Amino acid sequence: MRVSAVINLVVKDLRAELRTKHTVNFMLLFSGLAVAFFSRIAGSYVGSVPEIGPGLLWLVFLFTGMLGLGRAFVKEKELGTLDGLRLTPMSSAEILAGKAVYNLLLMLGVQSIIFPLFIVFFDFPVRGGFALAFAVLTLGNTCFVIVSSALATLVLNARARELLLPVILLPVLFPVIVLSVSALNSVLVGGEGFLNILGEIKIILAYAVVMSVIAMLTFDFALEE
Amino acid sequence: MHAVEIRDVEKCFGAHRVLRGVSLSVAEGEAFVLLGPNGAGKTTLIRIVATLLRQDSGVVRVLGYDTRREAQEVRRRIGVVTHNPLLYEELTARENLTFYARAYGVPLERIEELLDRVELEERADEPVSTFSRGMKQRLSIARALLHSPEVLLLDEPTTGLDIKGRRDFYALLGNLLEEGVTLLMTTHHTEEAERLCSRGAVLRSGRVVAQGELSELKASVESLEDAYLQMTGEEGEG
Repeated sequence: MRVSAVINLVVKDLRAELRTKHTVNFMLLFSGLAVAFFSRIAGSYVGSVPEIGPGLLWLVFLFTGMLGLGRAFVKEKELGTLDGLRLTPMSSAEILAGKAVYNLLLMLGVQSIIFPLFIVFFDFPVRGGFALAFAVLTLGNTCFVIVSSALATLVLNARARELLLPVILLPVLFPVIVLSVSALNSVLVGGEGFLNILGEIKIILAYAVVMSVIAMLTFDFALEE
Repeated sequence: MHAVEIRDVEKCFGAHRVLRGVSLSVAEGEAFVLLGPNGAGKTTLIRIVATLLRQDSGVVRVLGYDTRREAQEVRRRIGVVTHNPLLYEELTARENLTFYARAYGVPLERIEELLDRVELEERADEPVSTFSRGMKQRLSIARALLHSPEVLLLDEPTTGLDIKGRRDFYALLGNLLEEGVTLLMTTHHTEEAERLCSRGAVLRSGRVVAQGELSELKASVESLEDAYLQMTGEEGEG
């Protein structure tokens, strides 16, 4: 895999996105509103915030991701530029990696704004390390991006692709979400350190690796009409 | 060696057979036209040659490379221009070409040369969304020529172009032909096909119903358009 080819694709996508800001604006607006609404609702149940907070935060990321991440491929398909990409000597792995890195940068941008906002809006009693919690979220989001990028290609040729993606994404992502929420809970609420959540981290990493391999093996087939 | 060799190609989409045993060949440096009504299978055939689709059976070779087994080698040697210019509207002409040049591993100096060739150097730093259809197609040619392909595949490239745009476009293709680039194109405009191409084939319902020198195809009739209408069975319709 040529890193320069991946970077070229990421730069092109970021440049196009920053010029219109269509996807990133909607992702930020949606996630901000969701955090505000959830904090208002959770505020009615005093005492429950620490227990349900990490789960709600993950829900925000999940729905925000579903809103924006599929666009990276769908837009290329709708504009016909996916053919242009496929005609270049870029390998399937390079195209997939480029799209996944671009999606990850979008999600990390959202995460960097929404996570602190979540702490403030929920008045969340952080007992563990903020940096470790951020790292756990990043790992979970990385796995989320890999899975969603891979599945987005599988539904590219479906008629109702934007409706189909969330339906197949949720069951596939279920193990990652459960493990990420558990690890985030342990850090934020339980005040636990890295070694205590190593088990969850290992499984999420293994899941990300397995999904990456599957995505690369199925990518060519997925793009066939 | 043929630039493009197509042997017994079949392609189905579900139960619909789009190509039925299509065989034809294009010599190096030749301009070859695929004629046929909508739904005849021209675009499907071009997409197969371009490695964007896989045929169900049969063999397609471009400059000796098998499009199924050696797709990457084929992609390095072909340029594709379709009615969709395959450009990013938010990016400028130069940014589009820079992206594709890097994807092909082509030196960036080539961009200036091509912008000059398609007469877009003055608009190079403007977003493609502000371009006319003709300008987008000229930029699309520049995109397709970045890596100096030996074979250029053109799928109804003049759709939506006005008379001047069409004339400029064909002048550009004429120059490429003189430089030895092989052209395989589809079009509905028989008069344009005649101006540029020496040989061609007529597709009807996924079958080649005639192929050869364009002069032979129209030997018994007034014009290539009459020959086309006779062969495709469209004469007297509509």
